[in-house]
Amino acid sequence: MGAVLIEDELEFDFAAAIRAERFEDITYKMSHCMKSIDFIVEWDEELWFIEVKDPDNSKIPSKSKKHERRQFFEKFKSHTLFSKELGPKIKDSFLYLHLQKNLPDKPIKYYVLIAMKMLSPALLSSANDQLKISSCLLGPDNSAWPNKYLDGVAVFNKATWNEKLKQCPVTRNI
Amino acid sequence: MIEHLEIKDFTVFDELKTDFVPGVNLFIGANGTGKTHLLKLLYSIQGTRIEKDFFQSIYEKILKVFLPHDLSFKRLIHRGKGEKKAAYISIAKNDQKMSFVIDGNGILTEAGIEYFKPEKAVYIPVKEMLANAPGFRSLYKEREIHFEEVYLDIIDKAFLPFLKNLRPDQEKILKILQKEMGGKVQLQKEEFFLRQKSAELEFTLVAEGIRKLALLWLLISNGALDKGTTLYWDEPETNLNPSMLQIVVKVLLSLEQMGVQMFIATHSYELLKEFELQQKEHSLCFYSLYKDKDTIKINSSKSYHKLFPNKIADEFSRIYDLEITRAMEGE
Repeated sequence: MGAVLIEDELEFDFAAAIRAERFEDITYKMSHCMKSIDFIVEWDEELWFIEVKDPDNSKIPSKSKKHERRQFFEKFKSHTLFSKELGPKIKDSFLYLHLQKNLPDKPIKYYVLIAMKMLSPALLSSANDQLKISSCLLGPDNSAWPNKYLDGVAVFNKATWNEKLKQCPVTRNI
Repeated sequence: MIEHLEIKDFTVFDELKTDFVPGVNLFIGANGTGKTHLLKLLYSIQGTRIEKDFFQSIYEKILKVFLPHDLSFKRLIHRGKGEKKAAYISIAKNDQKMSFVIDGNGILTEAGIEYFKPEKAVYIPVKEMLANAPGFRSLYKEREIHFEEVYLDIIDKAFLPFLKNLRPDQEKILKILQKEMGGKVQLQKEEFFLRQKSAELEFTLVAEGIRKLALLWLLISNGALDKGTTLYWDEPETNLNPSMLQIVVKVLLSLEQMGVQMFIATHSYELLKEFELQQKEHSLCFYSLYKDKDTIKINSSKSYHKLFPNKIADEFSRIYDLEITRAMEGE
């Protein structure tokens, strides 16, 4: 069953999906060894893994905002955001569902929302490349894995999410 | 320091008016929107060596810099429907103003001047010329070779003898460049060499990107590029790895601090961003040249992200769009 999922200030309307869940609700008690993405959403034709980053969150006190934003930028710039967070998250989450024999036979997408107005198309484009590398989208020799794995990955900011993924708009509730 | 320009019916422009900032003026625009023409026109006027009649000198300089077929000014007049047009050009700087009209037959018909003194100007063309410098000047003087005069001018400037004494601000910029180049430039007869720690490298063997930095180094060392000079640079990014652009921008902003006004045409996102990010207290303005119903127009903005239209940013949006579409359809 579809649902509205909330990640702090950001509200995602997945009502039109077959199922929409917080991933940590299903990977209960595995956090000591596995990282997990935020949401898993199943549609008629596809399965989505979704991770949300919200540097524009208004609840971050203005005192620490500058510091937090700088830290986020550092992670973005040094690619550790991808290599240490976004990459491991999708690999562990996929592995978990695979080992649990809980992966429906549908194409899988990994979508990351970085809610940051400053993310220009040029930066988003470079983020896409990093996400492809860190999530091991392609196997050896740059060809697709013989076994089923991700079918596509993409990084969005809030505006491009709402523009491209009209079936599940995201809004900010302050 | 050029403050204002008005053009009517000259090359691609039918009517254009714009103000400039005393520091860095950056031009973007699709191919064929007149970026290079604007730079060349300003340079021709600013950098003319007045020999005989003031306007005649400018007239001839424009012809040599633009190099129209048969050196006919007629070909530089904006071609449009209807009656024969006349090109009008007016420039204002530091309370000085001058304007002139050239009619459809390419004849100077009107000229007005309120005291106008050409100043030192340097034009760096897209193609790098230092490696081809040996013999080029004599060839240009003796033979009919088809090169716009900006190529001869830049070689002439590069060949000027070094200054005996340099100010600390000049030394500082030269050090930044030397660090990147790994040495200094030397001139032996008419040939340039890059003198590095253990070796001397002739310019034909030096990477073209490094030669660009070397040219800046020469121009600063010999005073061709100093306070009061206007610098025109067409596509600094050509042959430079984007990682090198931060050095170029650092050097250019130091020159701006020194009192160099500059006009730069570019297609490089990295160059523009670098300027935006290093900007701080500098005087800087972005201009977008664009076609609107067959007319070239100009918009300006002090901040890059507000510049409109922006073909460079549009292209990134298009690429990102394709990437997302591809991801959504399955890679």
